[in-house]
Amino acid sequence: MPKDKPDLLKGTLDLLVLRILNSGARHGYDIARHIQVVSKDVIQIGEGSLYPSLHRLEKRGYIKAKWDITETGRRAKFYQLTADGKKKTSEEENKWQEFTAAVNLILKNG
Amino acid sequence: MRRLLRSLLFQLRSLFGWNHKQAELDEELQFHIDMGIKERTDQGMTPEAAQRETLKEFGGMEKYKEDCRDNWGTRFFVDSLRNARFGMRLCLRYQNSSILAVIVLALEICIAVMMFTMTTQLMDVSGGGSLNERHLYLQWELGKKQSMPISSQDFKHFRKEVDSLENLMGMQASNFEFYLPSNTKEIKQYSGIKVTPNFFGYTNQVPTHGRTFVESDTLTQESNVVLISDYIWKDFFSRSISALGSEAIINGKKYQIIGVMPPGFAFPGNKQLWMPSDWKEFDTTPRSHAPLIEVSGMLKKGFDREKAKIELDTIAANLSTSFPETNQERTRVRISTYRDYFIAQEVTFFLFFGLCVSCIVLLIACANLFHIIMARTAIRSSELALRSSLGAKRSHVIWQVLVDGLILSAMGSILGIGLAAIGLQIATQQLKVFNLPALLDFQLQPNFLFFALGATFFSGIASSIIPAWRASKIEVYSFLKDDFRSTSSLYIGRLSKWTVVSQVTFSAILVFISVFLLKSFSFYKKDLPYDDTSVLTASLNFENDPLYGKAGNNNRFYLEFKRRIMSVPGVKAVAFTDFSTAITTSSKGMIPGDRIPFELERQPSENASSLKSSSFGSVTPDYLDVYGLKIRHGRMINESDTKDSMKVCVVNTHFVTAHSNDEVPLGERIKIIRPGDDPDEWLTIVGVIPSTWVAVREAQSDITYSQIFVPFAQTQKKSTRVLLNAHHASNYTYAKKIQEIVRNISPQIQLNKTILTISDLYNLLTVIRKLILTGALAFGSAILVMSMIGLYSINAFTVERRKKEFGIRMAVGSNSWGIAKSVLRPWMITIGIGLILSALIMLATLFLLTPHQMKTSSSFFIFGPAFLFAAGIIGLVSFISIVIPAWRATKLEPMDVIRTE
Repeated sequence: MPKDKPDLLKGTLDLLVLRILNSGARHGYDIARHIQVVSKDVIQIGEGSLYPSLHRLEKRGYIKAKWDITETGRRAKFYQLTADGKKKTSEEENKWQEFTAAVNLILKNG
Repeated sequence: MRRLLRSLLFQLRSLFGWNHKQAELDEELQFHIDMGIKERTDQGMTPEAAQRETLKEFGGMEKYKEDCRDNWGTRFFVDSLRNARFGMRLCLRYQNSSILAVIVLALEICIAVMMFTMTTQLMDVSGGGSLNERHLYLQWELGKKQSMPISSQDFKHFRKEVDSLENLMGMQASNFEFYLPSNTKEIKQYSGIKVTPNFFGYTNQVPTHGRTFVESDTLTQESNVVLISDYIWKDFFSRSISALGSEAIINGKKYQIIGVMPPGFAFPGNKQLWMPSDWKEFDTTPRSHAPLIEVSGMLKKGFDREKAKIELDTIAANLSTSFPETNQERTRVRISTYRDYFIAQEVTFFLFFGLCVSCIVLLIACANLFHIIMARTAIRSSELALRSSLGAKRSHVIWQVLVDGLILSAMGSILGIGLAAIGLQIATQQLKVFNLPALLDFQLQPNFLFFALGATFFSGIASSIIPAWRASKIEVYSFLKDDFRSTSSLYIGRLSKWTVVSQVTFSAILVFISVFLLKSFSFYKKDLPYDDTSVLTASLNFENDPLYGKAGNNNRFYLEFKRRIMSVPGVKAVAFTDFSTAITTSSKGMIPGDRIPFELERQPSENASSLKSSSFGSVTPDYLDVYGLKIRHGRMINESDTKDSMKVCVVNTHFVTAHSNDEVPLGERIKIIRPGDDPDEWLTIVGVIPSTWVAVREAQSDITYSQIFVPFAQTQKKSTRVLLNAHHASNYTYAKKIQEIVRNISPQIQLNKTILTISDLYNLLTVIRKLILTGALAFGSAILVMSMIGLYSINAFTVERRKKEFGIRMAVGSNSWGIAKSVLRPWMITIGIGLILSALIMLATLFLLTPHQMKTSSSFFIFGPAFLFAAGIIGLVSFISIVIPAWRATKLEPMDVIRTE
């Protein structure tokens, strides 16, 4: 991982995972790649750290998992949002927007 | 809610499908790795490079797996189960240390549970009744500390008029002879109680079978009903339901059994029979003849104790005005909670003492277990270090060691509870040899099991928390670098040494306590010059009696009692005395009564410390007739010795030996030196009588058993002992007659509930003695075994860890003595410090607890040998415990040890 890439803020990985799953069920590898692609390679998470986050969200009931077959014909564990998860995503998104707006304000005017 | 349920379901699935979940996690992560490799090989990388790059990108696989497992929320349970399985395997692998640990804990739990069960059961006045602060006990308040029970007639006034109390009830306890008409040979004596029918409303208890009392149960004298305890039900009816409605003979009267109380219910104190009474027969007798009863009531809601007291005092004042002849001084009522009244300070002290000893035993066991777990953990250091290096969190390592401690303590606890159950059964059996009116059936109660569980958890955690904490700090590289010496020094540090010091200190103190108990309770029966089965004894208390309690009136009561009892067929003689017949049981232990200083006229004492001392008491003229004994020299006290005649006394043969150089001291004069006595009053010795002590202690001299007897008529006593010689004295009819006569002369005089022959009294003492001796022996032995195990285990561990060092030292020429010295020296110093500390603690305790006048060299002379013996035995046991491993160290073969290492 290049040294000048920013570290992920603590707690934001859960938000990223929830937001990505908002568009449909995905497996862990897919989620990792999606984060990389959408962030244009800026955000590169330690891929392994994604899994504790997925298991934590599953335990909290925000996502649920089921085993399915991928396009390549392999069995993989797919995660998808639950109703609570959708609600949580929207709450967390709002909080994030407020937070970044506040940070931007400081950067702009401070 | 739905989210919570889903989360719960997730945890349950994880818990019960742990292996499946684990396999899924492996598959999920493997899928990720495979996908990464595929993508990279598709981009042109070689498979090896792709794999390397993917794994690098992924990060620490094992760490993330651990994190995932932590997020399942079941980690604690699963780890505990796994650690428990692992702990069991460890127990099998390190069998010796496991067996030692289990024995230590089993002994500790056994001692602690037995002590708690016996002390609390003996002291529990609630006897299974549910009592709280609202349950009050009422008495007449006669002074700052003086009180007296309320008469049945006054009780009825209170019951009618009081508004602040409900379920106001009366009780009158006594001993009862119980048998069935179908088996007149099996007669047993039980402690029972007559109660008003609302008694069970007060205790809030219902019988397991049958019914409680109703008001009509007290209406007729012909139809007597009784409720029996579960114990009697089991003993006489084998718990058959046919007991209900059947007849029993209680003190010669027919009673119909109407109910059986639940197991464990024996309120108040230790009662086994409950009979309804309203004391109607005394409603019409003169007020002074109404019996004194125990009165209790429950505070109504909305009232407090102050309001209740004001109300009761008002009723008392009215009674005092209406009945001045009996109630003039009874104008105030003392209210206390039932518990506060019955649990005396002395009892609380013993309970507290038992609790302290149990706690010390628990701590010693914890110290021993601590050493054992330290040793086990040190042996496992490599494995624990490896686990840490593979990603196990510190908390996981700590928990793994804690579970090991908990498993050992759980096994010890199970064994200990089993041993305690057997021990309690033995104690109960010992007491059953004698038909005690106070029935003691020691049984493990559920709350004691909770106590054992708590003790197990405490000892498991307390003994393994430090080893666990230290184990979690092991770093694999330092462990591999320094190997065994580093772990040994990690575990055998200052803490271990101080633990051994405190263990030796407390062990010496506890063994001293058991040696002291053994010494205090040793006595044997003398060859008696009389038949102890034909003399019945009972105690009387005049304190509350307005007539016979007054100065000069004791003798009037004696004369009246004698006139009546002598008319009973079979009675041969009766005497009163305030001397104990056997060894007195008192709070100070078993001692032959208090000794009083005196001076012989022909041998004046120069100062207080050179005064002679002897037991001192009064007797009536027929004292020797009761025993069938003859005067040895001179004359016995007789009717001419009245309060106005010359002051005389007789002495026993022990007195002659101890104070008169075996010369008969007839005509000699003695002066009793006691505060309050006339300093110019001399007593003339007019006779010498044989000694009547039943039991003596071997170590005691004649001085201990010397007695001075003065005429009963020349003294005034608050209490006295009745001695009755009768044909078949143990027959309950005599006890019943004594009760009847005392009640008829004055119901205000209190008769103690235990009326026994001297032979039975001695048997009772023997049973108690046996019980105490067995307990003290078992207790002392258990402490010794625990000390030995603890010291042995820690020293054996040290030697084991230093094998390589010893091997090298021996290889370069060190001899066996040098090796032994290096093993023994540090522990000898540690044990020595422990023994010195225990001596200092004991001396300080003796100095603080011994009353000022007893603070002489003689009291230390009594305690000294007991302490020296205790310290000696602990020292010896400790020495043996450390010598065995030292001896084994000297027998090592240097080449074998070095090669093995």
